[in-house]
Amino acid sequence: MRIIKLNIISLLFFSCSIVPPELEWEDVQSDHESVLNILGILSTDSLVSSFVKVHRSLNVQDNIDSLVLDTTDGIDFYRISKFVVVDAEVIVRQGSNEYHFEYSEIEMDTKDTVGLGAYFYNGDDLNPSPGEIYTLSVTTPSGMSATGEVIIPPMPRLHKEELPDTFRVNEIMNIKWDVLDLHNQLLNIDNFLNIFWFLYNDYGFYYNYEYKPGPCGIQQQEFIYPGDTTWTFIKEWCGDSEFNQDSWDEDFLLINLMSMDQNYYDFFIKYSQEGSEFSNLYIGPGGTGRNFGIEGGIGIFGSVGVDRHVIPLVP
Amino acid sequence: MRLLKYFIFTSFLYLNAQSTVSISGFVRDDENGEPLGYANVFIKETALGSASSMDGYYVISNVPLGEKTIAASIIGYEMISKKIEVLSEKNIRLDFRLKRTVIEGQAIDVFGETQKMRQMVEPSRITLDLRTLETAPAFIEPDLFRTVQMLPGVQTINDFSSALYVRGSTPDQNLIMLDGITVYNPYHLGGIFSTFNTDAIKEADFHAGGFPARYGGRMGAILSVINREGNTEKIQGNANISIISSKGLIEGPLPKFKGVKGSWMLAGRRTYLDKLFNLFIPDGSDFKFPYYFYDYQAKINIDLNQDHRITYSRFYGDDVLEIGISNNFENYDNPAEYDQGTSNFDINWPWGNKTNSLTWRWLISPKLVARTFIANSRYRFNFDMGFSDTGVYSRINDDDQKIETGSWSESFSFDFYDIINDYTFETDLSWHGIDNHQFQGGLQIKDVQFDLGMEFEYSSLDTTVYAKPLEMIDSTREVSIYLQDRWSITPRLSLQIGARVTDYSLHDTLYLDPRFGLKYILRQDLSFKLSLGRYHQFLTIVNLEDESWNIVDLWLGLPENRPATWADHLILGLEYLSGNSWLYRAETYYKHFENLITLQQGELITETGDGENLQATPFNDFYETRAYAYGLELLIKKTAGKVRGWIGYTYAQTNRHIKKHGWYQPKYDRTHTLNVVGDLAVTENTHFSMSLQSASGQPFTPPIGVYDNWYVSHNAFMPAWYYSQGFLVGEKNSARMSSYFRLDVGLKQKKTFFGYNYERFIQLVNVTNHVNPLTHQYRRKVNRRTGETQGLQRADLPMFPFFLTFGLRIEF
Repeated sequence: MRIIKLNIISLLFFSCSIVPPELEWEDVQSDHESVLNILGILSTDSLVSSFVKVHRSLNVQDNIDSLVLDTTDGIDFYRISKFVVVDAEVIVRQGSNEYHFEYSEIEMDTKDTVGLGAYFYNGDDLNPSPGEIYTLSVTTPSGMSATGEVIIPPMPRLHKEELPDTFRVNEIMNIKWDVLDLHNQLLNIDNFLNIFWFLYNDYGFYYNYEYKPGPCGIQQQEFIYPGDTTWTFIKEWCGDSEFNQDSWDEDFLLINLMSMDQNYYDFFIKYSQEGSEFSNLYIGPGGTGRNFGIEGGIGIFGSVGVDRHVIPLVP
Repeated sequence: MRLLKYFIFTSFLYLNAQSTVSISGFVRDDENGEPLGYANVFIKETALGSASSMDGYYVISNVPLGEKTIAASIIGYEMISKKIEVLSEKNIRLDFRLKRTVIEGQAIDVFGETQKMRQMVEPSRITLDLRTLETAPAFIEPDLFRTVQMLPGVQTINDFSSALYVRGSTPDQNLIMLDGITVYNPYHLGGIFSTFNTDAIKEADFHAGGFPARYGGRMGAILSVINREGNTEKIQGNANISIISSKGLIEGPLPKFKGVKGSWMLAGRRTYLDKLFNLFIPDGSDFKFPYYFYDYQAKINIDLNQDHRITYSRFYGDDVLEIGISNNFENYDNPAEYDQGTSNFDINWPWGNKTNSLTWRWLISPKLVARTFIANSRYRFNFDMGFSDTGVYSRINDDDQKIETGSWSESFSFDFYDIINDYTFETDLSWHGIDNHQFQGGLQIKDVQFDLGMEFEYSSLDTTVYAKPLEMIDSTREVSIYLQDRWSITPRLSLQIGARVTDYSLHDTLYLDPRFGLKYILRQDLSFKLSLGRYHQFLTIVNLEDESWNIVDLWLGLPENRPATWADHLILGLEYLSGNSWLYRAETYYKHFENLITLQQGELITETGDGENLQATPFNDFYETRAYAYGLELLIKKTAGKVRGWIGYTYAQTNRHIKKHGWYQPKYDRTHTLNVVGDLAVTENTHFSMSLQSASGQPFTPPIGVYDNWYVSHNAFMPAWYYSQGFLVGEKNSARMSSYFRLDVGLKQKKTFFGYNYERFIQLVNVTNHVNPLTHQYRRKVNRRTGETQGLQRADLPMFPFFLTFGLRIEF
C-alpha cells in the first residue's frame, strides 16, 4: 500500500474568534382588543358556591398590575391586578328569574396581589336543578360584554348503601353510582389527613406530615364516562417503604363524585391542553383563547354537582 | 389479446433482426478507472452518437458496416478517438479511458455542460461533484447538504440544520440515497453536518421535483449520492486532520484472478473533540466530553467478466452521547446512623445509520442492461438513561437500642428508542432496443419495520416494576413496478413518459403515479422543459412541526386508517447556455399536497373515535393537513473560467391547512431567498471564495395579549379553581421574524515549503455579524421602582455570530 497524499489541517485551524452580536430588545406591540375572560360555575352542591369570576385579557404592551399605596390602616403597599374586573354587571337568568351577582373580595394574606375576587349571589333562591337552562350576561361600564349558557347536569348519586361502614385500606371496594347516560363524572378518593395537609399547607398552618403520615396510595381519581356503572378501588402500590400504618385509625376515607355539564368537560378535561397549545421558553404557555358556553369573550360557563361520602379507616 | 400477441411477436422479431451493429462499452477515467457519466461518444463519420449513463455505459445502435472513427469526450478530459473496422454484423464492445486535461479548458467545460443539458429531459435536476462542493467556503469542512442548501428551491430552517426543505416539502419527503440505499436520518451533530463524507463522494444527483418514475415512495425531492468505486489502477489514499474530525480514505484495485478484477474503497471519519477536551480535564474528574460521531464507508466492485459486475457497499455512522457520573458517599454525622453507598447516573444515547447493499449488474446484451439490488438500511436512536443508588446502613433502633444493619439498592432506567429497518429488493432493466427510445422498467419491494417505544424500569432489592407506556411496532411493505421511456421524437423534442404502481401492505388500494416530462430545444442553446406527475408516500416523521431544532427524526409508517399522502408536481422551465459558459435556468412550479399528517401539539390526551374514551396519544394523533406550494426559481451558473459559482433566487410560497388553524405558512417558508456562491481564481494558486445567503424571515406565532388561564384541581373534598397567567397568541405563523443574511468568505493559497506542498486558508463565517434569529427570546418589562409589569419585550435569539477559522493543510 502506498499513501500518495496526506493532508493535515493543522490544529491551528480552529483558532477561532467568536464575536457575539449585541441583542436589540424591542417592545412587543399588538392591536389585540381586550375581551372578557369568564369563569362561571353554577353548583348544585351546598358546599360549593355558585360564582362568576370576571377578568379581561390585556394587550401585550399593557401594564398588568399597578402599585397602590393604602393609608387606611397605616401605610401599606399592594399591587392590583388589571385583569380583574370589579365593576361589571353580572346577571344569571333562568326563565323569567334574574339573579344579580355582586362582587366580593377574597382576601388572601399570603398574596401580595389583591383583586382575586368573584361575583356571588347573595340571595338564597338560586337553586339550580338538573336540566334547567341558565344564561349569563356580563357587561362592564367600559362597554365590554359577554354572554353564556349552561344546562345544569344531573345530580350525581353514590350508592352509599352498598359501601362499607368502615374500610381497611388494603381491601378492595366496589363503588357504584347512578348511571348517567349523557354526562361525564369524576370520582375522587383520598384520605382526610392528606386533604387536610394539602388544603392548609399553603396558608401557613403547621401540620407535621413527616411524623404523622397518612397512608399513601389512597389518593386516586377516575374519570367516569356515560354508561359506566362501577369502579373498584384498590390501594395503589407506593414503594417498598410503607409509612406508618398506625395512624390510619385516626383517618377517614373521602369519596367525591362530581357530575359536570358539557362546557365544563370540554374546557377542563377534553381540551384542557389547548390553553397551552403554544409554548415559549421565555414566557411560558399560550393559546388562542378557549370559550365553552361563553359568547363574546373567552372562558367557560359550566355547572357541576357533587355527592360525597366519608368512611372511617380502620387499621 | 390479438393485439398483444402481435406486439410480442413483432418485438421479438425486432430484437433479433440486426442489419447493423451496436457499439457499446464503458467510459472511464484513465487514472483511477472511475466511470464517467455524461460522456459523449459519437461516430465521426456519421451523426450517430450516445451519452454515457451514470455508470459510464454507452451504446450506439444501428452502426453501419465499414471503417469508423469513434470518439469519446467529456468535461475536463482529453477527447480520445479510436478507429475500428466494422466488418460483420457482430456487436462491438469498445471501452474508453480518458485522460484528464492538464489545465481544464473553458471550451471543454462548456461542452460538458451542454452535454448534460442535452441529455436531461427532466427539469429541476442538478449534478454536484466534488469540485462543486468545494466551491463554497465551508463551515469547518465541505458538506454536501450545505451546498445543496445554496441551490434555488432549497430552503433552510436554521444554521444548525442541514435538512433540506425543497419547494414546500419537508425533509422527510425527500429520498436521500447513498449508492441507491435509502438513508433515513442523514445527519450528524443534530443536523449541523450531513452524514456523507465528501472525500468518498463521486457525485450527487439532486432532483428538486418532477423526478421520473424510476424513483418513488417520496413526494419531495431526490438526492442520490454515488460514492467512488475505488481506484482500479493503484492503491492510493489521503487523510485529513482537522479540529473537528479526522478523515481518511484509501482505495485500490483488487488482485486479478482468472479474469476477475475489481476495486475497493474505504473511507472513515471521526470527531475527536472529546479526545482533545478530555486532555485538559484534571485526573480524577468525573466529567468527560460526552459527544462524538463517526462513520465509515466501504465499497467493493468485482467485475466477474465484462458483462457481470457485483458491487458491495456499506455505510455505518453513529452519533454518540455518553454521560456517566458516579458518586461514592459515606455519611456518619450521627454516630447512631451510618450510610455508605454509590450512586450512578448514566446516559447512553447512540443514533445513526447502517446500510448494506449488494448490486449485480448484468449486460444481457449491448442494448439490455439489468441491475439487481438488495439492501438493508437501518436507522436507530436509543436514548437510555439510568440511575442507580446502592449502599449499606446501620441504625440504632429506638425501641430496643440494638444496632440494625441492612442494605438498599434502587435503580431506575428510562429507554426511548426508534428503530427502522428497511429491506429493499430492486431489479430494473434498461433497454435501448428501439431507435430514439430508452426504456427502463423495474420492480421494487421494500419492507420497512418501525419500532418506536418507551420503557421504564424501577427495581429495588425485592421489587421490580416495568412499564412500557409507548410501543408502536409496525411493519409495512411497498411493492412497486415502474416503466418509463425517454423518447426522442425529433432532434428537438423529447418526452419522458412513465408510471409507477405501488401496493402498500396496510391499504387495499393500488396507487398509480403517472409521470410525464417534455423537453423542447428551441435553439441549440435554449430549451424548454415541462414536467408533471403524482407522487405517493407511505411514511412520515412525527416530530413536532414547530420544533426549532430536532436532533433526531421519529419515523412512522403511514397508519392503516390514514389515506396515502400524495403530491402533484407541475414544473415549467427554460434553460439557456450562453457561449461564454454561463448557464441560465428559470423554473416555476406548483405542488399540491393531500392527506399530509401533522402531529398534534400539546394534546396528549384525546377522545377515541367513538367519542367515549380518552387515550394517551403521544405520537399517533394527527391533524389532517393539506398544502400547496408554488414559486419561481432563477439560476445563473458560471461553469468555467476564473470565476465559478452561481447566483440563485427563489420566490416561494408554501401554505398548509389544518382545521384548527386554517391556512397558514409553515415555519420553513421563506418568500424570497437569494444565494450567491462563488470561487475566484486570483492566481493559479490563490482562490477567493464566498457564499451569501439572504432570505425573508421565517413565520412565527406572535403573542398578542395576556390573560388569566383557568385551571382546576379536583380533589376528594371539592374542586378548587385557580388561574395562571398565560398569553394569547395570534393566528398561527401570522408574523415574520427578521430577515436572514449571512456572508461567508474564504481565501486559500497553495505554497511549497522545502519541497512540501501546503495550503493555508482563512474562512470567515457571518462576516457582517448579522443577527439571524433562531427564535425569539422574551422578557417582561418591569418598573424597577414599583415592580409593576409594563409590557413585553423581545429580542432575536441569534444563530452563528461572526466566526473566524484559519489553518494549514500540508501534503506529503
